[in-house]
Order: sequence, then structure tokens, then C-alpha cells
Amino acid sequence: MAEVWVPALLRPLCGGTARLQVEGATLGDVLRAVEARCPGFMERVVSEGALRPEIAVAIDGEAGSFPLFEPVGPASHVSILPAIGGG
Amino acid sequence: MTAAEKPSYRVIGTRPIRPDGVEKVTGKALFGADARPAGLVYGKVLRSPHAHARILSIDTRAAEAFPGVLAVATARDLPAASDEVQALGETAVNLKELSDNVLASDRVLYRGHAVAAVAAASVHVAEEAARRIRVEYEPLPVVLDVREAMLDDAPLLNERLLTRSMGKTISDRPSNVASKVQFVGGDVEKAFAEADAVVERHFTTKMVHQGYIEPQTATVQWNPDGEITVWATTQGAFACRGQLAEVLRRPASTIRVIPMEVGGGFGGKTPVYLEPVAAILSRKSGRPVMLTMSRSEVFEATGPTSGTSIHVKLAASGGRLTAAQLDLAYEAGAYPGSSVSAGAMTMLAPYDVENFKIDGYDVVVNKPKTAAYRAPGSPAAAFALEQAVDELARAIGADPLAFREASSSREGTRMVNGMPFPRIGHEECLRAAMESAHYRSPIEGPNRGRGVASGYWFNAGMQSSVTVAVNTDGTVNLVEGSSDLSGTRASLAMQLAESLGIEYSQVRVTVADTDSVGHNDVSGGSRTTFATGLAVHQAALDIQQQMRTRAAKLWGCAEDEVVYEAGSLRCTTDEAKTLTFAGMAAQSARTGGPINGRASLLARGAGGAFGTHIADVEVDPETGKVQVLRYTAVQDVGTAIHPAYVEGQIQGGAAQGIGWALNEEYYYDDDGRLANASFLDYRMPTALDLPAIDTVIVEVPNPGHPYGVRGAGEVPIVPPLAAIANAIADATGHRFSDLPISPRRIVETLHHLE
Amino acid sequence: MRRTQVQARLNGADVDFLCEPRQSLLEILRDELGLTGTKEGCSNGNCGACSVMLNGRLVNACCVLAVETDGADILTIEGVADGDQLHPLQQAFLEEAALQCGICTPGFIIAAKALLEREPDATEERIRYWLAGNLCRCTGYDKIVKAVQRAGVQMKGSAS
Repeated sequence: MAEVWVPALLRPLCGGTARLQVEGATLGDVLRAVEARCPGFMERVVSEGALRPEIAVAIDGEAGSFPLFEPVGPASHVSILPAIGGG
Repeated sequence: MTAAEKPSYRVIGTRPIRPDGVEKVTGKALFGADARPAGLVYGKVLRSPHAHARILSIDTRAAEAFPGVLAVATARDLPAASDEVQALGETAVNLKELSDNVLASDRVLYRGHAVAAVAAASVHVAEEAARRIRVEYEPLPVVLDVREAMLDDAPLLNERLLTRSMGKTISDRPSNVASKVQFVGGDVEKAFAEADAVVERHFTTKMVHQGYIEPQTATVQWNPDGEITVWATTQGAFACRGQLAEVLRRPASTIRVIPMEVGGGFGGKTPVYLEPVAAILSRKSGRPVMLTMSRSEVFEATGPTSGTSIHVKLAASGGRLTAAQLDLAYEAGAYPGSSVSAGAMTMLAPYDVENFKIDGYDVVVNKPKTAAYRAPGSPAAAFALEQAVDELARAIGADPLAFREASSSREGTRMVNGMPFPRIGHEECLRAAMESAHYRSPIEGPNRGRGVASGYWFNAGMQSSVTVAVNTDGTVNLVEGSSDLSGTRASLAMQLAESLGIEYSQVRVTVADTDSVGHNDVSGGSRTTFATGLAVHQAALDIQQQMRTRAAKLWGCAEDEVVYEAGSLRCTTDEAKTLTFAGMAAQSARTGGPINGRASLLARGAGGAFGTHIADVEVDPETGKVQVLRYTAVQDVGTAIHPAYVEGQIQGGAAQGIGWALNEEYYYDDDGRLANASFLDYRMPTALDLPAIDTVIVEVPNPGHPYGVRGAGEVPIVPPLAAIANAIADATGHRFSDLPISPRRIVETLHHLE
Repeated sequence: MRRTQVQARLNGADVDFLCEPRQSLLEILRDELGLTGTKEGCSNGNCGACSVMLNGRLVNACCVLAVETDGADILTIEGVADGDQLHPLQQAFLEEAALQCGICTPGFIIAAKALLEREPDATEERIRYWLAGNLCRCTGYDKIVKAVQRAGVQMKGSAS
């Protein structure tokens, strides 16, 4: 099970939970598994089949704008975070 | 890391002369303004005298009729840009806003906003003609302060701007607040209720500029067949090309960006300002056109970093930091996109704090659109946090470094965004600081004080491409595309020499134009030595593999019996069979043709890094002058490839931070006029203002890089603001929570107290 | 605009050029004579990137009108090395890693040369005072000061 860190602003969708354990072999699978438990989550994070430009994801400490096919390990940690603006 | 643990390198860790050194000490190196294509003419930009106004009309007829004028450009000459956000290096850019920032279409949002431009045979003629352009403005109310801009009744910069947060619009009416970020963990209320000590304080910082010595300049030649050549001073030739292609609606392949030497960037030479305007003037005049900003244009119309307003409440319990409530508001300038999210994510990074609530706001104001400036977002956040940490340590009677060590992040600590840290080196920096001769020495005398502070920056990976051609005499040519801002040709050539087992002197490096090398993201995020270094290493492995294949064929043995080691090939089953790198290179024509190594990658494994600084100051209570008596900067760089340039990065970052702490600020009048748009009045540190800055290089290797590189450029600007402020608090007994801590502020504050 | 003819010595050779009264020496050096080693950082005398020697005096070329240089002796960064022999200051800047981006380097070398030719024993404080007219934003000045000290030792050695 991958551990997903839900950002504070999306926790209301997940009953206030900060961490979820979900199954999924790819980032897309993981996000869809979160969506199944937290309806409305997906559209906040994904648009037109890719992460929204204002959103980034960190998988096991590596942050970036990953494709949804990015592999996620069975014990991986996935964080949803705002993309880093540099001005 | 002790010497025993450190791998032994042949080239890495030495201090060779940089490849571009001789050109730069003899005046031969060609920087942006040194481009001289045949037929070159010059242009001048007309800028808004208002900080906020509607453009009612622009009449260019008198300028067009002025003798010697070759072309005039306004926003009408630019294709309408779409309202979409594109990733450009470390930052996301809205192209409609980028286009409007290049030449205002219907509204000016800050004083200095470009409105029109003229090309002529001489810059003086262009300037005279530009003055004859008639622009009719309808001035609008101005908002300059970040907290005022957040008020419900504040003048709006953009009536269509709604507040966004994590993929959703969260405001029901227009606002200057473009976005909100939030990070929450643990139970803040409970932690504050149970704390041994609580500190609460409000901090502000002003907009400051990167202060690179070379002004923005761009030279563009637009041929009748649509081929465009750009001589640019940019941190990223490909980012420059990408922005230009979008603003001009031209295919990327038709634009060749030639990266000239860059006279300082620090994040500020990532956006385009002049290139699209010079392109339009060139298309209309049929001549190559150079546009160069004056120093006041650089201050007024390029991207400084945000002014900020930061509220901090911290709690300590059991001798360590236990809770933080933080509220950060950052000025984005005229268009959304400040570094507040990075500020919010880096602010608590040095510490393992269980309970936190952080709110961050990105706010537009009538000042120039901010750009990245060295660890964007982090220095102002550290200025606020590290002063409060210092106050908290004093409140519980702890040594400030020991308190930081007790609270420090380490491998496995979660950042506020939930990310667990990989191997990091904050504790090592704190210990090195505690053990330094500086910290162990006493600080004595009236009006003297000592301050410490830590800071963090992510460091970045992103995309790099390189090729390495092996010459038959055993030398190699490395072709890369990372703008060399500070000596990265050397750090890359050194890694290539190390990986191939050849001499540094056998490597020649070229930073190529966009037609001659694959895509490279900007030189930013302290990424070049790390990420392009990774590409260089992979290209070396590619060459090694090609040589092993050929050696196996030559020797009639299996490929896996051929070893490449220390610049030589040998057969593990037949000791007589060996070839040097040069020996194999000499045979390339007979063994299959040229040997070229290549690598293109999206670098993963960037290593975030920490620094801890110690400052001793003396404050003159009569004049308010702060003399920095002694300064030591400790930093984990992973591995220092070229220690002299790593020291230089650390010293330079510390110097910029000291300037930010003591003197630098954008000083606006109520109408939004920048009152100090010159190097005389925008006071950057001179050689006389600074002591020798001592450096302590800590090396906790980054597991994500073959030689352990983390990146060195940005971390050192993060701690100085707070280190200086803490030292001044120690010297005067007064805590200054607003930057800059200028002589005037000190005199006014101390005399009021007295 | 009517142009004036100016004759001067530049890096040891005679030159003549035409200039408008409003043109600075910096502009003429860079745009008319092709000597782009002298850099423009601010064009109002505050950064020192355009430091040149004019009749043995250190000046900012942006603050000198070109018409004023008739009959003058001018030295720019292009005239500092002796053929393929770098000046001790140039060599010291390389060895001490006293440059990062390099835009301020020509100005620093000219300014430091003006000091060391008079005071090869200049102390660190004297060097910092003298160079306060030249801004560097990359290095924090430490390595520049060390390079100047190193060159001073060498220049003194070769003079004696």
C-alpha cells in the first residue's frame, strides 16, 4: 500500500484525514484510489490527463510534475503539494 | 564526513583554472551587449510613468517621422497570447501575462512597464524619438503594500483575478490574492497550550533586486524568411527560445538563441523582457536590433524578489521546537507568481516540528513582476523564523545552536508537505558551526553581538543534454547547454575528466546555442553542477561502453571481460591486453568510426541542502552603522567539485544576504515611483563594507549523484538575513523585525527606546 | 549631429575617431572602436565596470565625454596583457578564482593595477577602500582582495 499525504486544503474531501493508505502501481492508479475514497479529489489535482500546472507530486522524496504513468512502489510515499513558484 | 570515508578522487576536489578564465581577465569574453552582428542598430523602450493606469491611446506618428528612425513597436505588433500557464524551468509562466509584461496592451501595472519601443541607427536618436510617442493614460488607484492589497476594498490590478488554491477557485469575487497555500500537521492549539515558552512576532521584508552588474540586453535579427537569431544574456537559452516562440507565435525551430556570457543572473535572467521587442523591431526594420536597459530600467522593469509580511508564532517544550503557526504574504508584483509556496515549504525545513499550521498568500501589487532570486522565497521566511527561534532559545536559556540541534531535521523527518527527507546535513552543519574557531571565540566589547541562523533550499534536477566528442589525439570536446554563470564549465569538465579517467586539461567545454545541443533547462535551482554533471557522467559511461565494445572486438574477448578503469581498458582474462583512453581514441577510425558520448536526462535525486551562518557585528548607536566584524558560513554541499568556486558561491551568497539585511530595499513613494533606482541609492555591499567571509564546507554526499553533488549556489543567501538580525539583537538588546536594518532604522529605534 | 575628430593614444597605439559631443568614452570604446572589454554596468559612475586609465588616472569611462580625450593616453583591459604574457593581476585573478560571472573583472583589474603600481604593499584594508568604487555581485570580494594581494607581492618581486 502506498501512503498518500493529503494536503491540508484537500483534507475536507477526505473527512479530514492527512494520510491514506491506497493500492496502486502508478501515480494515476494511486490518485484514482484516493478519488474513490475522497470524491472530488481527482479534479483538484489532475486536468486533461496530467497534473495541473499549479500542482506537483513528490514520490519517495522526489518532487516534480510526474506523468500519471509514473510507477509507484508498494511502500512508496506520495505527497501532493503546490508547484514551486519562483516568481 | 571524515577524510577516511571520503572517496579518493583524482580531479574532483582540485582547483584548476577555469576554461573561460583567460577570456574573462583579458576582456575578450563576449557578454550580451558585446554582440556585433553586421548592420547592427539600436533601440530604446518607452516606459510608463504611472504605477497603474489604463492606456487610452498610443500615437507613434511623430516618432515614426523622426529622422533616423527605422521602426516603432507597440503591443499591437505582438500576436495575442493565450491565457495558459507553461512550465519554464523552476517556474510556471502565464504567457498572456508574459506578453503583456513585455509590451503593455491596455493597462500598465507598474511604473516602468514597457509601452512602446523605437529602433534607430543610434541609441540617442531612438531615445529622442521614443520621447515623441504620445501615450494617453487614465491613472488608476495604486496599491503597493502586500497586506493592503489583500483588503476587500483594495484597488484591483485585474478584475478577472480570482483566488485559486490546489486546483480550485476559492474566492467568489475578484481579489489581488492570486493563490493560497496551506500546510497543516499535528495539533497546534494543544502544543501551544502545553508549551514551556511561546514567541510571537511579525516580520516584514522589502522587495530587493538580484543586482547583477550586467543590465538586461538583447540583440535579435529577424530575416525575411522568418529565421530568427537571438544574442541573449540568459540563464537558459532554451527557456529564452521557448518564451520567445510563444510570445511571437513562431515555431521553436526557427529561433536560434546564442547564449552570450552572462554578467550575473541569480534567478533574474530567466524571464524575457527585451527579446520579443527587439524581434519586432528587427522584423519591421530589416536590421539586427540591440536593446539594452539602463540601470534604472533594470531596477524598475525587471523582476526583483517579493517584499513579504510574515507572522510567526513558535512554541518550545522539553528543550526543543514543538509548534509553529506561520502566515506568509508575498508580493508577486504586477502578475501572479511569487515564491510564497517555496517560502512556506522551506521555512520549517531545518527543524522536526510535529505541530504546524502554515498559510501562504500570493498577492499582486503595482510593482514589477517578481522573478526568482537565489533560493526564491526562502531567505525572507528564514529571516522571520530564525529570529523567532533565536528568541525562543533565549527564552528557555538554551544556546542558540544547541537548541537548533535539539530540534533539527534529519533523514526521515517529514517536511511540511509530507515528504520525508533523504540523507541531509543540517545536524552536521550545526556541529561544524559549534566547533568552529569563530563560535568558540568570545565576542566582547560594547555594542557588539553575535548571531547565528540556518537555512534550507531544495536544489533542483530538471533537464540536461550533453554530447562529448572523443578526438583521435585523446582530447575531448564537451558540448553542453547550461549557461555558465559562475564557473560551471570547470565543474563539468572536472566531472568528465574524473569519469573518463583523463586529465582536466584534455577537456574543452563549449556552451552551445539552441541549434547545436539538445534541450537544457535554465541554470537555476543550483542544478547545473548536479544535473548537467549527471548528464556529463552518463555521457562518459556511454563512451566507456563504446570503447569496451571495440576493445572486446579488437582483443577477441567477451565484452564483459573488458574493464574500463582509471582511463584505461584492460582484458580481465589476458593481462597483456590493455589500451589507454588515448590509445583507443587513436584507433577510432579503424574500429568503427567516431566515438561520441551523449546523454539526455530528466535529473532525479537532487539533494536539498542546509547552511548555518555565524555573524559578529558592532552597532554604532549614534550613526546606526553596522559593521560586520566577522562572518562564517557553514554549508553542506554534498561534494565540492571545485572547492574554490564553491567557496566563492558561499561567500557571494552571504554577501548578497548581508546587503539584504542591512541596506537593500525598493523604496517607493506613495504614487508607486521607485525612489532609489540607481546603484548610488540602492546600496549594495562594496569591498569596504564586508569582512573576509570565512567558509566551512561540510560534505554529506548526496546519494542521488555519483560524486555526491548537492548544489551550492542558493543555500548561502538563506541564513544571513536572520544571522545579522540576531547579531544586532544581541548587540543592542532590540529585535529588529523589519528589513532592511538600515542606519536610519537603527537610530530611530534606539533613540526612541532611550 | 555634427561630429568632432579626436586623436588619442589607446593601449599604446595612435587612434583617431569621430564622435558626437554627447557620446561618452565608454560608448566610443565599445561601439566605435570595437573594444568591448570595458563593460557598461550603470552608466552613471556607480559600479566601476567601465574603469579605464586616462592619462594615468583611474576613471569611469561612462563619465568621460569622448571629446575630452583629444590628445589623451588611454589604457583599457585590452592593453593590460603584454602580448601572450598575462599581467600578474590577470594571472592572480585566475589562480585565486577571483571571478564568477566575470562582468566586473576588467574594471577590477584596471582599478587594482592603478593601486598596485603606486602601492604594491597595499594592506587588505587599503585594497578594500580603493576597490570600493567597483561593484561585484558574485564573489563577496574576498577572493578579489586575495588576488590583488598576491599580484602585489609578485609585482614587487619583479620590480626589484
